[in-house]
Amino acid sequence: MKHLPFLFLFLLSFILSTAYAQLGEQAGPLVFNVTLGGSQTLNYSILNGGSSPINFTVILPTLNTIPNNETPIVKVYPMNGTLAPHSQQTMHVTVFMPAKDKPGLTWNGGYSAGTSGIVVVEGAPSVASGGGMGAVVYAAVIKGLIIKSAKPPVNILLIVGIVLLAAIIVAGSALYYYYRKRAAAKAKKELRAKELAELKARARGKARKVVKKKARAKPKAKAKARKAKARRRAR
Amino acid sequence: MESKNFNWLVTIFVAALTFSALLLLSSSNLSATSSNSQVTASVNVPGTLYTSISPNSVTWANYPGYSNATSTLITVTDNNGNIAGNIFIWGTATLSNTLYSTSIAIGNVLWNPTSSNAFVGNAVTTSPVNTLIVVAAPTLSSPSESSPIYLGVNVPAGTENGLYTGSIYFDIENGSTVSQPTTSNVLSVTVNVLPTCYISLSPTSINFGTLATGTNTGNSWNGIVDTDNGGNVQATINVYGGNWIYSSNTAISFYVANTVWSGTNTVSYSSGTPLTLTPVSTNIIVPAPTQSNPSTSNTIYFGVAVPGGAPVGAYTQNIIIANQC
Repeated sequence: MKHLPFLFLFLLSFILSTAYAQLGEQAGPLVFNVTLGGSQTLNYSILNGGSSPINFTVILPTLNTIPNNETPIVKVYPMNGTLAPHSQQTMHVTVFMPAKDKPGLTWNGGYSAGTSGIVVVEGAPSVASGGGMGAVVYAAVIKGLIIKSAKPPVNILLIVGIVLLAAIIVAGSALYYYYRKRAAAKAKKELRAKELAELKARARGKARKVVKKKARAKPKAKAKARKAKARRRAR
Repeated sequence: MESKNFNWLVTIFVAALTFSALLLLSSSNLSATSSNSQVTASVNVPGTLYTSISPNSVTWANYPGYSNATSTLITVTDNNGNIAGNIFIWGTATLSNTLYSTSIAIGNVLWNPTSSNAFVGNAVTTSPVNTLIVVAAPTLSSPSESSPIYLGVNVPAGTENGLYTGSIYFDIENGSTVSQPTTSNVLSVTVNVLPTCYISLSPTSINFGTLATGTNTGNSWNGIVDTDNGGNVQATINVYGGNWIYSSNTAISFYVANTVWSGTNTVSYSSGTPLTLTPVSTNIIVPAPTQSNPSTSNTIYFGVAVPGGAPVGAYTQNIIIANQC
């Protein structure tokens, strides 16, 4: 009879161990494509398909390491809670990508040795206590992760600004050379006009001398002719 | 020459014409008589019903083994009819997935006169069922009358993921009077079954019994059955655990790797794979459940060794078995 309480406890523990608790998760990996220095959030659902509430605790993933690059940071919300019978909970997973990493790299959690995905454990495993050489077994679901680093998107405003700046520089240079050439041509034209004027002036001066010479020469010729006429009459 | 009088002939002709016209008018529903410059018209209007619904399509997304609440509102309208009637409902035999040739029986769609957060109500069948939901008679001042009906769907456990489509029909009827033929009384139903896997373990503890230091469990293995009850994709079992902790003094422990796991129980302790502090894939697969086999399982076995020098007493360990899908 003294074993009855132990028998009752055994039966109770058996009943508890076979209670219809059923943890589940939406299938498929979470695939992140995160720009350097940026972050991305994806969601997935965990489920309680059973008739008893399920307390859960989240264990963050372990990602592979890549030499000379920092490992992305993963945050999960919520980190614990209770799933009511026949209910689901949306899990929000955010990945932060270090700015100094190289683009085109891939990390994973749960798809290569030494890595693990996001573990959602039924209950809250802690140091088990009690008699006997025994183990307490907890059920969990794991969500695999694939994280890719990507170049930051091209800043169109920046490109437009650079193109505009280049256009302004080119246009400014063109205008500068245009006006410079125009000014040089004007100066040259003015110089030529000046030279031409000088030449004309010089030519005008010579002509005047010739006229003066001619003018001076005419009376002499008339006088000569008069003298010759007078000589002829005298004869 | 004597002239003839034909007045009697004209009188007979006019009388015959009038009599024929009266005969024609009295033989139809529409009649008119002329009296003192007044026209009286009459029309015989039979009892008429029309059926249209809004919306004409609905999409539900859910996991296998889950039911949507019967809260999707469908408004059934009699537009331009003139008598009251009851809403009748029926559907195609199944909501089918052409890709996998699988289906969801129409009985998994429930209708309910009122909105409910639970999956409660009456199953839709392939033959018309009187819901007893009344749509009032439209009147001249209110030529359109409608009533609500609420729908929900249950996704049977093990239903393969994908899109399932079918049709549900509505009709307003009053005795032998059914609604006029219409195409706007058909509800196109799409169910998006999402992929998922579940885990439940049995038992949830292992008692390795008493082991002397420097010995192990040998060929004696303790199995944990990992069951996926109602999912629809296969899962890979991952496993990890904690160090063995001395119950009398938690500062004393021995390493987690003294526990080994195996996919079979026909080997010795030394053939097992040491347990680790972080999850590893065991490559043990829990097959995808199906509608015909909605519960699948596989077993992972554990053994243990106690290192020399371990103090006398009880030790405990946490083992975590995780399904990844």
